[in-house]
Amino acid sequence: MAVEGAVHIGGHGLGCTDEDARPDRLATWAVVHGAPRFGAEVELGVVQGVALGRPRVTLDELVARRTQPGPAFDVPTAEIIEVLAATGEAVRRDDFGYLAESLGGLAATSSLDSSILTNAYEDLWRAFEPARAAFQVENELGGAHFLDGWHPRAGHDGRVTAVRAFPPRLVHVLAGNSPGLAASSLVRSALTKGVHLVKLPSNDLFTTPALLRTMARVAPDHPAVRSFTAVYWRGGDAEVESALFRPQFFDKLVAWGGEGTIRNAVQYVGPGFELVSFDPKNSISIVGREAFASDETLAEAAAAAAVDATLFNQDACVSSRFQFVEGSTEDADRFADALLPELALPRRSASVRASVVPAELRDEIDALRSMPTLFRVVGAYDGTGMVIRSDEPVDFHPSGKIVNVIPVESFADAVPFADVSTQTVGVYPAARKAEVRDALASAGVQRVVELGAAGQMPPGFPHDGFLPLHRLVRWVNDEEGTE
Amino acid sequence: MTTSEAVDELIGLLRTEDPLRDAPAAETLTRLQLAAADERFQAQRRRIAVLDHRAREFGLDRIESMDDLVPLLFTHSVYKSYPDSFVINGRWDRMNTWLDTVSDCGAAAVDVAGVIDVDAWIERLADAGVHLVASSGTSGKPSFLPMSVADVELTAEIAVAMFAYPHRPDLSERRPVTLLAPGRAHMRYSYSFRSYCAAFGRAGATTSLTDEPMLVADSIETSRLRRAMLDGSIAPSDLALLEQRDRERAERAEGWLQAVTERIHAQRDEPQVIIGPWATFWRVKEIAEAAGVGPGTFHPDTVVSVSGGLKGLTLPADHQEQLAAFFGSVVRPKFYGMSELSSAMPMCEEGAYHVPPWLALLVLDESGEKLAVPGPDGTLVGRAAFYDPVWDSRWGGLVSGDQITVPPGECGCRRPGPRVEDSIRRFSDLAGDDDKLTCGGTIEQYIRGVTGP
Repeated sequence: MAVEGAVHIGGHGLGCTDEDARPDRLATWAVVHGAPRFGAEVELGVVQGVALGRPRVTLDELVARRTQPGPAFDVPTAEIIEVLAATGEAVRRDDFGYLAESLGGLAATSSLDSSILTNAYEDLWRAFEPARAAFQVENELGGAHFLDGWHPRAGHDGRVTAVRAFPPRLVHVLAGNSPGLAASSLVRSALTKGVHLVKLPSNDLFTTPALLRTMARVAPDHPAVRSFTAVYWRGGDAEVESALFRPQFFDKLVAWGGEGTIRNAVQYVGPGFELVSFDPKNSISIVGREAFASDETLAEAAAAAAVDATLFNQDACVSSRFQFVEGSTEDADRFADALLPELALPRRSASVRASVVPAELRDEIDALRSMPTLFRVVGAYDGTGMVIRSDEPVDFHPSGKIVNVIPVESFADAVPFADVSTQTVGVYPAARKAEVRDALASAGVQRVVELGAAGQMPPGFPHDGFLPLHRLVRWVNDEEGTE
Repeated sequence: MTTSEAVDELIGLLRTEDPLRDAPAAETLTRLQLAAADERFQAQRRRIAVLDHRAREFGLDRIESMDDLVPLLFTHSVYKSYPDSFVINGRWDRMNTWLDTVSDCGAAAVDVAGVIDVDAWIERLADAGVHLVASSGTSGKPSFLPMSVADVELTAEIAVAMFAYPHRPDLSERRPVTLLAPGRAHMRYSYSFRSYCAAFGRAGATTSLTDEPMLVADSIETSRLRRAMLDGSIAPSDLALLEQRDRERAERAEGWLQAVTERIHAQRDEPQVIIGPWATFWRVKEIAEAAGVGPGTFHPDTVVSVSGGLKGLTLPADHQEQLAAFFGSVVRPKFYGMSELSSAMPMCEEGAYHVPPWLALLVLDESGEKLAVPGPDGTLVGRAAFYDPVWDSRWGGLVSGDQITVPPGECGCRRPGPRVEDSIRRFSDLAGDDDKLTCGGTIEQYIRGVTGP
């Protein structure tokens, strides 16, 4: 322990703790029990060429003692939803300029194109909509009465047990590849009324603090605001994590993606400290022969397939990477030709150019391109999109707007390529979803959607195979004995 | 018609008294290296489809500068760019087609009728003069680097000429040569071993860890099992069998290690040559010490050459010193090399790795897309890349995964030419992106244990 019992949280891998405040670092925000804190005393290293720092925070500040209830434990859900709604409005108008500031920092440090980030920021407020929040509580928990008090019900033997969706103490390891996640995660967390520590991702140090700062201005000192702490430390830093990841402080670790993070988190999981894992995933599409009925249907299917493939320039779990086309090799090639120009279109969550194809991937694709009897490659390496047609899925992981199109004789022939890592399967035409959904679910798939709708995950429904709010709270009983 | 004047002249540098000291001046050498690269390029682009594609994409018709070379460099991925299914489904004809798109080895003409597995395929190609060096990564998918008969002969000559450099042991008397690895393996070190045995090995005293062939099929089997894990068709009993097979193999290897340790210990009073990777050297030391062998009992003219990195091995921090103490004052050459290169870069008395004059060293930025910019004092830090004119059957442009530091000026040892500091790291080991969380992921991340780390 350092002086004054304070262990400073530094970023080992992203840089080391530096005692000097350095003006040449971009200062960032942390939030400690609702109170924003700005600074650059702790060096975070260089991200996309920008040197970053953050304010000093001690380990003790990250934890709320179990000896005291969390600030929002007894705030009515309706009040929480009101605070969120007001926050959403302030976010929409950016009343305090925090989001513009945040977007500037994010655009400078993110690998995503700034147009994608700007569009994502324009949509952030939607996560705070009161009707949406109320529906999440209703459909994921069974209603606000479970959150607000003890809901009694008689069992089969007549004994009455009262149940409460008790506010949890959660540590969230957020992903940073889509700003919307910061918003939806904040809303979900607030709805549980629990105590939250958010570990910021190095690829988005900005969005969560900006949202929390807005919330703190909208509802100063509100218990829901005081329930949040958000700070960056280097993921896997044992000095921080072995001190924090304990049942004495937290009930659950909520991990988003990142194989390393999840594998690392597992070592801390034990009695009383549970892992809620939003596993890293990938997604595929299945296109039926109906696509070849006319030029219009082909254009429609290709456009929808491109929407799903290009989400966040193909850097998200929902982005489609492998597309199985029911038809001949020639059909698959027609589909590929229709798909390619669609990949290059600017969209709300895709830019004209994704990152240039990395050299190792280019070398693999070059080899396939040199075997024209077996593969067909269209498109360029400049990030505008490529389509590779092959008999079987390619061995590498397509990303950066590269789609692998595989002809199959029937939908049943596509199913074996879905597995436990497959999150979303987009199907064209929508009417044929029912034909494959059981087989896909059996293979491990979590969502079957209309092609083109992969990015439209409905709030209040299962995500990654479970109801998130239901999984985040602690279900506690007040039980009656027999007479 | 293409000529090979520059290539021949460069390779001729190998046949001087001391190739690293006798190198031409930097400007002459660069001109010669570029001329050699262009000669090879003109000849090989017509026969290596991947090279030709790349050249056309970048509009390159001649190599006149190092900048021209950069977009033409191949990563290691080129040599494992075949679809896994070709191997798993035994499509050796297609593998030959693939080899011919990434190299100029004439594999398509080799008949694959009756080839039953990957090792038989490799043997069949070798019989036809196409030698493959196979190395498997953690994914279990091996890369295949082809070598023609001319390549095998020339690299053997280089290996012997540069043996133990800068030490010049008197090799006029034939001596025992021991390889602390399976001799029948499709690896570069087994080719080096054979060339040492032929040059200075004593008949009857040239041995390897085992004559049991190291089968590529085993790593293909791993690959097949991974695929079975991906599609969910694997049975728990398959995994249990595999674990048992691994255990049995480890026990057998332990027997070989005991035997080889006894053998080299029995020869300790005379000069011998011992080569091998860290892992086996370390076991040999442990076994010998357990048997009561003290430090420093080997003849001072013994040559001990340890290759490779630690590759996931965890050894004590002072493992270098411990091994040095065990062998005592023997000749211990060190070098920086990779399977893809014809020649290793020996370490000089000052502790720097020197690039032999026939190899052109390029230092690229981290992305590998352009030449690195020197620091204020002229130091270059970046991704190591090479043009290697030695290869006849494949393109010599190579970009590695290593981060290197090339200091300015002349080395304290007074040898001319570029040198690489002893601070080489894999870019993949450097801290960086692992904390950039995304929700995207692959099935590879869902596979645990048994067939890999």
